Amino acid sequence: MTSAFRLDPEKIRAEAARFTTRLAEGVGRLHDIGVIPAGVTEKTAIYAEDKITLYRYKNPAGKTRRGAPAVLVSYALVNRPYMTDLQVNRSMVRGLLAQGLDVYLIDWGYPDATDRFLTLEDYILGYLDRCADAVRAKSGQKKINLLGICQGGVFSLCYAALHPAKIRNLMTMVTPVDFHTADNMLGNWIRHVDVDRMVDSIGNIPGDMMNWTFLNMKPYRLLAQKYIDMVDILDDAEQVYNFMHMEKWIFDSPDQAAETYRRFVKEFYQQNRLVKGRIVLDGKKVSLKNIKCPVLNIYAEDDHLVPPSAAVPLGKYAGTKDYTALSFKGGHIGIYVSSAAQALVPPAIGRWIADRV
Amino acid sequence: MKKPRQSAKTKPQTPEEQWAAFFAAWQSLVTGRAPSASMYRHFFTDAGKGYFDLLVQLSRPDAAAAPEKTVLTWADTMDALMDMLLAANAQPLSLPPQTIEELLSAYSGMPGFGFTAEKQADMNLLYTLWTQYEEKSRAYNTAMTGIAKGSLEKFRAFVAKPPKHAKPLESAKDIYLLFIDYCEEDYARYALGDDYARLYGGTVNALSAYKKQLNKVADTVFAQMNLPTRQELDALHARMHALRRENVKLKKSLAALKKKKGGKK
Repeated sequence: MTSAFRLDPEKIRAEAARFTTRLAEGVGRLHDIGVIPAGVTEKTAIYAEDKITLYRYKNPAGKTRRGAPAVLVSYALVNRPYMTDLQVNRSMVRGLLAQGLDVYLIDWGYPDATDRFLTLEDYILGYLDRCADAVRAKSGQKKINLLGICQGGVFSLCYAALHPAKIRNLMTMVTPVDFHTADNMLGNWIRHVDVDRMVDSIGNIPGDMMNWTFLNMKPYRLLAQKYIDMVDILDDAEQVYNFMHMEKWIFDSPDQAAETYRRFVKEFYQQNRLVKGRIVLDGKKVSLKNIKCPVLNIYAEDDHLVPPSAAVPLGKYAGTKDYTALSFKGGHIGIYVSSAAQALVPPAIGRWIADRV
Repeated sequence: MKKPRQSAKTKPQTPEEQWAAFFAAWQSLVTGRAPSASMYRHFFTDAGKGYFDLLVQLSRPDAAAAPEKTVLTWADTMDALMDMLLAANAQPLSLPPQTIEELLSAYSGMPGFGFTAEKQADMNLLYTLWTQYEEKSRAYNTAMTGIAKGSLEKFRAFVAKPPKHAKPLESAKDIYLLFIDYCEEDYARYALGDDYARLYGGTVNALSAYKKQLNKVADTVFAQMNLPTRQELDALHARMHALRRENVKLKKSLAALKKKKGGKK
């Protein structure tokens, strides 16, 4: 009979010795990590309101060219936006600056109980709009380039549909558009949840709860295997440093403002209203057909949070005649930080914008 | 982990055993010792430790000569862990005869009497909602463990009779990753299905209902102590945001008017 194994006792003993040695030495290495920064590129706050701050990044290679296309990055409310600027060699922001772009980013802050009643309108028609105005004023450009990431991409779609006069080009990254596709795990989970009851009972949705949900999408890999794999890299200071950067970011999760969460889950996830043209913000209907500016839709082929099936349909629903899709071979997180992404995504954005200024 | 007092397979039969089960269930509910979501969470961390256990077992002098036996023994320990989860999550409140459930609902379904009637009703409802959440939570944990057991069976089948062209496993890590792959694959399939969506939704909804009632009870206590209640804070925050929005609109109108008149913005 064929055996499932080809085990060499010596190799097994070596594996065990390696594992325990790395663990023992790794403890010291973990102690040496020190404080992990939240973002690495120098930036200046140019606008602030409540808990949000709008930053403008300084180009490490020199002064930003006068008249350089202004790009406003709208990140998701879930997790912190420094994922776009995690480390010097893993920074989408730096990649965009290197393309000669003038980069701005909204930091949504950490909502607390006083923000429980912030609505989708407050975020999209309030904060996002005022940040866009601040970028327009600072850059002297009537129309700016808007780059929305994940949930921030959904906000950007709504915003661009309602304020077309302020947007020159729209870019979406790992952004769900059709929330009812068969492989959308989050969409499936939330289908039978009584969101009203949940929000009414706990108010703001704790970041820990969001994290637990995301971890449960791949529980064996993310709760068990990941930390076994970590032992394999404990003898490499640089890899440990990278790992801990990511670990910090993953669990640095703001609470979600209750009323915004309620409507986002009900209207986008449960009712799939975005593609039906039935999102209404402050009495105005959001129609993706109103998005006539050029659109670049970047999605990740192995994205388990926003599967391609959820992101790709934008091309079908947006009203633009200038639509480009860019697929990246990787996952939801790799698209910001992997070396492949660093080499592909910012240059592609730079070229795409340069062709449309 | 301690051995559960009562296994899922040995349901109480005599009236004495049934009453004992009822009181055990009641005791675990009121003392907060009932199995919770965290129990299933611990399962994953135990699964992580599983690699180390496997490595230790395979490092023993005679293990590599009979890896099938060693790995199947390891699988048995994982199985025992899952059995413990199943036993701890057995539904004592659903055990026959129905008098146990009836008795519980008879207690919590009682109307309030006299001066503290409202408080009694609130507490009874809280108790009912807690038992309902417990039931959902146990069902959730049980279903999830069932899926994991199925994956473990596939793993065992592979070990006992690998497919013809399967790549031989050459390290403890290879073996461990195969186990993780089976678990993750089955879980992903289940988690994308309707059964899981209903189970998940039902559990979350039951917990939300319980927490909502808990808020109400807590608010009553806070009000008695002259402390701000959640209801009051919510009203305050809602008004604050409404005023803020109004203020932003007024500022915009003012700026527009100034602009129209040629004044400074």
